[in-house]
Amino acid sequence: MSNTLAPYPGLRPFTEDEAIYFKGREVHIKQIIKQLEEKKIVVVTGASGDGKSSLIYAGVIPQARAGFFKSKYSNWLVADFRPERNPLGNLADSLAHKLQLNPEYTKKELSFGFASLINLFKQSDYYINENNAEWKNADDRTRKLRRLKSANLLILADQFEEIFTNSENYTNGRPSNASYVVVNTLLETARIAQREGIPVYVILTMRSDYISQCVAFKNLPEILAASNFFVPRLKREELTQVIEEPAKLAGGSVSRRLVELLINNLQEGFDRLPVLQHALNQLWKLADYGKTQIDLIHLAKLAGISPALLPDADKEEFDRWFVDLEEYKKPYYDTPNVDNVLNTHANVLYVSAYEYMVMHFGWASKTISPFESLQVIKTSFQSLTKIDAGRAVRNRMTLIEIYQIINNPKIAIEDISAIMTVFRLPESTFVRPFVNPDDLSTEYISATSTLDITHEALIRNWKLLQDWNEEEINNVSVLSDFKVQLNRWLSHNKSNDFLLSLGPLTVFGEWYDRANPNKYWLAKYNTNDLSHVEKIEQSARLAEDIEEYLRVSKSFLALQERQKKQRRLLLMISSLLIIILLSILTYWANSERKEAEQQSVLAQEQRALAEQEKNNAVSANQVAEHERQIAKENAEKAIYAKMLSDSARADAERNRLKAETNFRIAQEQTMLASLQAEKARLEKLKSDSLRVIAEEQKRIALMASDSANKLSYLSLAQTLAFKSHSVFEDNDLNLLLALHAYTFNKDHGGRISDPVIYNALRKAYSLVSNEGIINLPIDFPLSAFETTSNEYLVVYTSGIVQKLSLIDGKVSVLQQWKSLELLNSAFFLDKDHLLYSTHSKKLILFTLSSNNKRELKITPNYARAAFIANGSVWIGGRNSTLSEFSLSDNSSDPVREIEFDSRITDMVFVKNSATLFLGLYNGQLFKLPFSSFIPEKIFSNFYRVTAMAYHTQTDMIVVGYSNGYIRTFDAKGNMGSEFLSGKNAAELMCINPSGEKLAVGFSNNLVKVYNFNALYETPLTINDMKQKIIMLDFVTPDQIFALGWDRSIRKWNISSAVYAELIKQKLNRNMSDIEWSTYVGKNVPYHAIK
Amino acid sequence: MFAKKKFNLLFLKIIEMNDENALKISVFLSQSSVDVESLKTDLETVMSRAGLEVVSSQLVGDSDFRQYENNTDALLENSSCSVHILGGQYEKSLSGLPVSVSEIDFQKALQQKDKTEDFHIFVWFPAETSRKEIDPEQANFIKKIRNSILPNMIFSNHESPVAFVEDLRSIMQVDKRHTEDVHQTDVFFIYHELDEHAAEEILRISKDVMEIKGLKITNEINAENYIIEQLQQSKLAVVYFEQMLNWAKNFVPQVWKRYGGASATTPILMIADESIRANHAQLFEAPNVIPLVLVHEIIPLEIKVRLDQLGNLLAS
Repeated sequence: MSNTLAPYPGLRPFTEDEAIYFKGREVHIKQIIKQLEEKKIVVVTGASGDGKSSLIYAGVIPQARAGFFKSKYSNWLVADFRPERNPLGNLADSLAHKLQLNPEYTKKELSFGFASLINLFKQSDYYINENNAEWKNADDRTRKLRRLKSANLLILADQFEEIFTNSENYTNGRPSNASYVVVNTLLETARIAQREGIPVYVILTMRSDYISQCVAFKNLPEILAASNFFVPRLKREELTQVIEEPAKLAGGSVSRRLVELLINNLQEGFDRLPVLQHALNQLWKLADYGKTQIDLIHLAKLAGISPALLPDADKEEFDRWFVDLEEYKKPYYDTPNVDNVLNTHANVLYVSAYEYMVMHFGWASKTISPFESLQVIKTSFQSLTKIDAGRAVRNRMTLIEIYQIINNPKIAIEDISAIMTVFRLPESTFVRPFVNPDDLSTEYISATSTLDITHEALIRNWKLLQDWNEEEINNVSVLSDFKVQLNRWLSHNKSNDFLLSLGPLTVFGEWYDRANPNKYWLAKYNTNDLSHVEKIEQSARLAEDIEEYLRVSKSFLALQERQKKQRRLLLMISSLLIIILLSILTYWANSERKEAEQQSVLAQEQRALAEQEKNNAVSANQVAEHERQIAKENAEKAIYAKMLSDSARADAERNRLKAETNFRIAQEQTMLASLQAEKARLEKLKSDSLRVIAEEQKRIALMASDSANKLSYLSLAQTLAFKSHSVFEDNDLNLLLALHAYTFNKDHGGRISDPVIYNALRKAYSLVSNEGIINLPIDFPLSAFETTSNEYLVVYTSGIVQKLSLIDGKVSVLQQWKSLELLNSAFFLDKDHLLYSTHSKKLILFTLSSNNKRELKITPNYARAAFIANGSVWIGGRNSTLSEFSLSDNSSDPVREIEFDSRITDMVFVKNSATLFLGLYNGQLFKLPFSSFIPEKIFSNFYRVTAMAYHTQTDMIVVGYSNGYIRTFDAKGNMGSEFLSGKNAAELMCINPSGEKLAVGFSNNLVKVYNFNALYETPLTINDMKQKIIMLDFVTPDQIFALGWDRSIRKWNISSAVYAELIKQKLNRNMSDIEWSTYVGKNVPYHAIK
Repeated sequence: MFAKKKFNLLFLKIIEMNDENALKISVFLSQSSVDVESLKTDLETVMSRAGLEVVSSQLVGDSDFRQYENNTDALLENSSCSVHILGGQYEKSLSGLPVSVSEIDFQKALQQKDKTEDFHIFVWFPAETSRKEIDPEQANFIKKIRNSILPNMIFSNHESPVAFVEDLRSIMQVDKRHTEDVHQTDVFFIYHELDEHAAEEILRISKDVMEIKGLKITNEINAENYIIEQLQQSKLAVVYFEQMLNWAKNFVPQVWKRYGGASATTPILMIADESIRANHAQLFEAPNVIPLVLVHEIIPLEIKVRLDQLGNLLAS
């Protein structure tokens, strides 16, 4: 079985290749097939996350191909498509590909609807017209050949609800012309197929919440009524199968208690199955890909259950593990439950995305900060969701569209691609397109690649994404409010009366700074019936209007402020005038009062005179009376004047106070003005210094432009390297692209051993050369040993041993031994001794020269490592024992046994110091001097030793661990260096003769070559091996030999220069001008190779 | 003590099942603590409404352990499954034994499961009960059950008895109808009708030296169920193809998956005729599936050798 297929796909649907792991729906598959057999069409509906796509791809289609579907022919063509934004085009492309027609012609034909699709099928070679003369006159042989070629046609429209969710297809309750044609064609196809017995079948998968919208299409509701399959909820025993069976099929197992707990703890409603599949996917990996039974402790380690529910022994193990867990992950374990697994996983990826990008992508610019990378992730995911009727749904977007929405010139499009890679890896598969571990070029996605969240379960279960979407919903809501105000202003000829006041301006201003609503973001929410380009144009105008409205409102408010200030100034001036006026009045009042007082004194004197004259005469009395009257009047006048002056004084006092207040205000404002002047002066100083800084930066920029020029050539080299992987009819073009990539890289100071350039050269060379791949004569080799140069001993599962010569790419059998038994494992100890274990559970030491077979008494099948030293055979195995067998006698019993705490997984013998180094399953590393046979532990960790290697001249031991770490030790057992090679464990290691290079074969069949002098550099990676690597060795300092389970022998040179030279010899021409312009660039000076 | 409970005379209730096609399922309902007595009564009623035959021990008063044990064994012997409701209390009530009646019933059910392959045990720990206070001894008992769940044992914490009984009934109602024309044979040989000529030649030669049953796959018949049943009755299966590589590449994995994958007992030889170049591509590999590309003439011999090896292995 392929060990690259995990039995649980995670969030994404099952593919056809994973059909063997798709369990629990056997009854439903049969029901759908029965409906299709009878009615030729079925609409599969169900809630989001119910597994509609998986049911068809991994259920119905494989069953049909296996012959469990009654039909006319034996073969099946499946033309599947998603409507997306172009349903007619996508249907045409898929159908054209399957029927081998021209896509443009197919689209034109389909645009006529009705019988067009049936006609295309009938015209193809896959249909047999049994009524025509050719068939009637054909002999049996001809008929058989025709039937071998014939095929049933299944049209699958997956995610059919996209007809309704994309505005290009459906707006305001009305379908576009293209969608109408597609639906008409599909329904007519089924109708005609049923009537005429033509083997064409139609399946639509669709979310059930879009059923009501089907009324927009004629006849579709009737089909829904007549041939609908609503995906049922899985029953308990079916859920048990979903959990248990895939693990069993893949060679693993799930404990019953975990099965019951998972079923009990799954929440009802949407996402039950995707959440479960995701949890199972993670559990599988945590249980070492099925090598250990998946149990409660694994779920606890994923924050799926509380550790308090674990058995005591497991709880202790969990506590030990938790102590070493990174601090940033620990808070996620506060609320453990099954739904939390997905949330935790997504958060961990979010936090670790930047580090992953820095470690793995040399071609990313790495100029952005960790904080900026978090912002990129946030905006990317917000772009990949959209708000539809108040809920967040998936939204497919190209990389360039996301880049445009981010709208930050500091962030390059490659950075976005690199940062998002961690969500596209096989172990997460949160975002499509996924990275294919067998093809590293899939790590790179072009600007026009479409990204898509794999399943909406991620949107609903990742809390952070929910928060971001809440924010987006809020932004969209504010936009909607804002547009109302804006439209009011625009419709009133931009009148000032409709500008924003301070309160709304503050709210909308904050929204504008937060949401950064550029034209691309606005276009996302543009629901008008326009093309994409028209929407962008319309949104650009809207963005300008928004900016203008805010700006004008701000300016208007500022103007009003200024006017208020002017009014205050006027008030101050008028206050001063009033003060002056009142001062004059006060003075006048005072003089009046003085005059009044004087008048009063005068009156007194006159009264005294009158008294004196009283006695004199009556007339004098009248005069005096008159005088008294006058004096009285004067006194009254004086009192009145005094009253007036008192009143005026009071007014003057009030005005004086008011004037004092205004004067204080005026003083304060003067102070404020002087402060502002000071501030302006400081601002000027600041702008002067900024200008100086800007000039300095300009100078730096000029310097940077030179190095940018160099970097752009290096970047061009990387791009050409990727382009050389494409399939061209003319292989010379592949060679030229790879060679130019190499030349640009070398001439501009790029890294000599750049892995991308190296792989481009190697792959290009493999197109024109058959060197490097040889096939062994027999299947399933187990082990190999180089006896002399070009001569090898090989042992096979069938029990045959061969001595082979490999010269000039040809294999010759020099000698052969045969055992009648089938073998489980085998090791060559030297060129004369082979140790093997059989199906019948025996362990045999076979001496090739004498043909002697000696049975060794050790727990069978469990020998993991062995070697010969000091006249004995030493065997280490899963029984945790090192056993010594003497070569000089024929005894089956060991002469010595040494026990260890755990199974021995690998060993190396250091001849110089007669010391054995052993690696154990529990992660411990021991040294065992043959002088004392007392083991000494030299290193310990929690991860098992998976492979070891030794280099004689440098006396260096290299040890690989299951967590991907590789460490070096000297012959005394002191650790030298350590580095992390990745997530996969090393299975084989070898060191080149000079001791500078280390080649490692990993459990995912990749081979990586490290340079001990530069361990920090990205290693060369070779991904040619399709199956398990059996043997790996350096045949020269720069050439590696590898033998695979698929019986292929490969040789690779690890020098880019060597491949470049070989390619030059194979080249027949240089690049033409057009090719140079297309692939390299018009602005790059032309450079000929030959 | 038993004195706390009310006792009725021993009797069995037999209710017609609602679904005429369903098999009659008899359920042993175990004793439980007094705090879940009303839930137990509700459960019994629900099970009766669902058409299940419910039996439980209703011994009178002061019976001793031996009597109780014999009675329980007899009831379990006649039941297809047992149901155990877990309450919050650990009630020791039988002849001074330090063990609760509920735990005794559970142990008895485990013994019955060891004797009868198809016997199922359903444990119901109602969500409502799990939220209340639980005796330490009872908590221990529950933890022991939870951490030792065996095949054919279900541990459920549904809120309602109806949901619990739905699960029980759907697990216990298994259609055991058999396909006719299935019988024991050494080799089960399957091929597609478009490879008929080459396949029948192999069949003809093979019949001289071994017991072999052939099946021709056609488009008109879906023989999936028959294939699975016949596989169970065969020592070795062979899927042969000459022209029909695409069919075989899909057929073998589907059959392997349905038949139990790595734990299946009948190995499958997937034999491609080497005369067609495309057949040399990578075939399906899995435990119990052996892909071979062979010269047409030696195919019968290869089948014989494999069958003999299988025989030797089984003998050893």
